[in-house]
Amino acid sequence: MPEVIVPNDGWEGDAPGAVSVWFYSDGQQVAQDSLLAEVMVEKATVEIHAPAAGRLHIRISADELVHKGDVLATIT
Amino acid sequence: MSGVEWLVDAQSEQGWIADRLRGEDRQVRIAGCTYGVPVLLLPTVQFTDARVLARSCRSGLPMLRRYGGGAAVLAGPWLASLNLWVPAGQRPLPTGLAALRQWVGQMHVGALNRLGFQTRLAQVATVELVEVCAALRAACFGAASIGEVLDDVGRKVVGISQHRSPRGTWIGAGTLVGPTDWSLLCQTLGLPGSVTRLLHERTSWCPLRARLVLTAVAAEVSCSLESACGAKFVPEYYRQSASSSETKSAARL
Repeated sequence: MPEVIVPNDGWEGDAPGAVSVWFYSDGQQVAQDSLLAEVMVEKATVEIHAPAAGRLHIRISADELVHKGDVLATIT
Repeated sequence: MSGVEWLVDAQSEQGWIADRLRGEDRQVRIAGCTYGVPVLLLPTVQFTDARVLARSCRSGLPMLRRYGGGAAVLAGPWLASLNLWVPAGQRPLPTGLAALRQWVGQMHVGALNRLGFQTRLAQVATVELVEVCAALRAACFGAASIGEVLDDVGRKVVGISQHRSPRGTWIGAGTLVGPTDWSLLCQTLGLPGSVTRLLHERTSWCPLRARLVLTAVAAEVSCSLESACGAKFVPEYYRQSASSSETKSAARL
């Protein structure tokens, strides 16, 4: 089951970020590579893209805190 | 004219950024932007806030969704923005979010100090101080992050924001070059008058022409890249458009 993960790339330290917006709803079908969400950290926005096509299952809602490596959602 | 693309309004600037984030551009690029009229630039979260939309409509202030993190930016003749596109995997630029912000901040400090306006990097984030006034966080210049640029008495002059996609990173830095209409920003965002006063107290501006500032910062960036790469840095745009020997030499900045 593909996981949608907050990328480690470029995210120094353990500072938390926050999911600023989901562009899809829980349970919605998504295409591979589609822009799913934005995570805000340290005045930067990091785009979160779908690693695979399928149905989106959101684990972390908008406005919740996240850390690098966290699983934001899964796709089935 | 240096090897810099020039943009003259917020709409073309956001379009330029979108083209980089969604396209296949593999070149480092620099674009300067100035703004003839006030326009409110909002990150996605604030842009979808219906209350802000309603107030903007009432005030007649144009509003655009902007790329990047942080808060609302009131662009206008008082702001000069440098846009830098760094394709994924580009070396030797810093790859970390904070490291890249500090690098761009340092480029501004070097250029502004050379122009006679004394600045320094923020060494401590002032976000914690803003806890006493959460509303300040709704405005980009309300707080400073490490690596942003302050004047010699600690007032913010340059705000820096980034947007990272799988194709690369856009990093933008806005320098205040004139007195900002903070009351217009606060009224549109529905912030109390005390925030307007705090923004006046916490910010400064350098009394230089926007084009002069942007050209100087672009030169600083280009020199740093050339030094690090061991080769001349000339943006692809310039290579395509330069035709005379005069402009070719200017591209070296």
